[in-house]
Amino acid sequence: MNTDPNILNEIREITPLLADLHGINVFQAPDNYFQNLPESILIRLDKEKVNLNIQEPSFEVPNGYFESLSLNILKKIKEEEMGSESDELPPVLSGQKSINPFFIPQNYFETFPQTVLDKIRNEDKRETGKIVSFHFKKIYRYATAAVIAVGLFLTSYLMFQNNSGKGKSGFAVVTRKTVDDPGALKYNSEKAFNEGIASLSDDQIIRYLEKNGNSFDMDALINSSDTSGLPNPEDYLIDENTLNNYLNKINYKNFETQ
Amino acid sequence: MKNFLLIVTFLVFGIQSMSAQDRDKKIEALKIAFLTEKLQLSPSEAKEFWPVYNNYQKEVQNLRSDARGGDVLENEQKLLDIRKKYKPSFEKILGAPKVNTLYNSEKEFRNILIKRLKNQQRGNQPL
Repeated sequence: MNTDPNILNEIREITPLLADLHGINVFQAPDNYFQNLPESILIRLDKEKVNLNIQEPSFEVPNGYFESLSLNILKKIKEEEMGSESDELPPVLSGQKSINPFFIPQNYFETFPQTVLDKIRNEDKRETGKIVSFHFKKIYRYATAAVIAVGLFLTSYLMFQNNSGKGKSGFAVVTRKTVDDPGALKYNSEKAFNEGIASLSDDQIIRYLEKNGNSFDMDALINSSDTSGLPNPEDYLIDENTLNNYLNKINYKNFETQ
Repeated sequence: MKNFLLIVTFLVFGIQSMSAQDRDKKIEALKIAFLTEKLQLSPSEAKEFWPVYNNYQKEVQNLRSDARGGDVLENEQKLLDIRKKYKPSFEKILGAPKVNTLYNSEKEFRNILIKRLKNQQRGNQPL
């Protein structure tokens, strides 16, 4: 296996170290290796066989085994049938297996009516005990009712105080005597008023402005309109329905009537 | 069965229209509270003021519902006429400075509503 001188030269140009390593064939076998191979293997095997010390299987049978075999098998089967149940039971219960649960004490049926009657009488006694506990429940009931009553009283009192608008900043003049609409009494504080404004729906406001606004307000309405959701100018070029889609989105019918 | 359904339908519609009216009343109530606060109405002023103001408001509302589609300038003139017409009555009850406050407060209230509309426009709409 000779290396092509051209390749060698090329390798030398790249790395002289590699080129100087003369090609050693690593897949070399010693002389006559294959001629002697089977023999050497056999020699090796012989040596190991000594160490293996293989045991021959012994098929010995006790005396009279086959005479009693059938009997033994039948016996085993019987045992298994009997024992299978107790095998499944935990040890605690397997001990109880032999006890008959349907056992009646002596003279059970003779004394039965009497015992039943006794039991019933005892129950009656317990009933009277229950009445005592019922009294306790009643007390709890009164207590609950009292708590609820106090709660209701406090709430209504606080609400009344709210309505009278004592100690509130702003809207303190909103009282029964200064407004003609009891509905307005709710908004007797700045907080209540702001919450009232915040709770209005768009529809409500639009309807109200339609009914009560003067035309100067329209400028303010337009100026304060939210334009952030408007489509981009390019969108009109891409899709001719852009404007319609936008108008549908904002439910323009609200404004149409104006 | 048919009658029963009919009654239920009427009830549902009745409740709906009632709640719509109630909701409109809510803005009115808010406006009353707002004007009361802005004008700092005393009980005696309030007693005279609200009937006059309600008449004034009714006239404005009538104008607005009649004026739909009419001459714009003419309608604006009519609106101005109503406001001018009520000015003396308001002045008599509230005094001249408070009449200005009244007309400004009306506008302010509308601006509050418009601002609310702007802030929550097409967002969550509480009913």
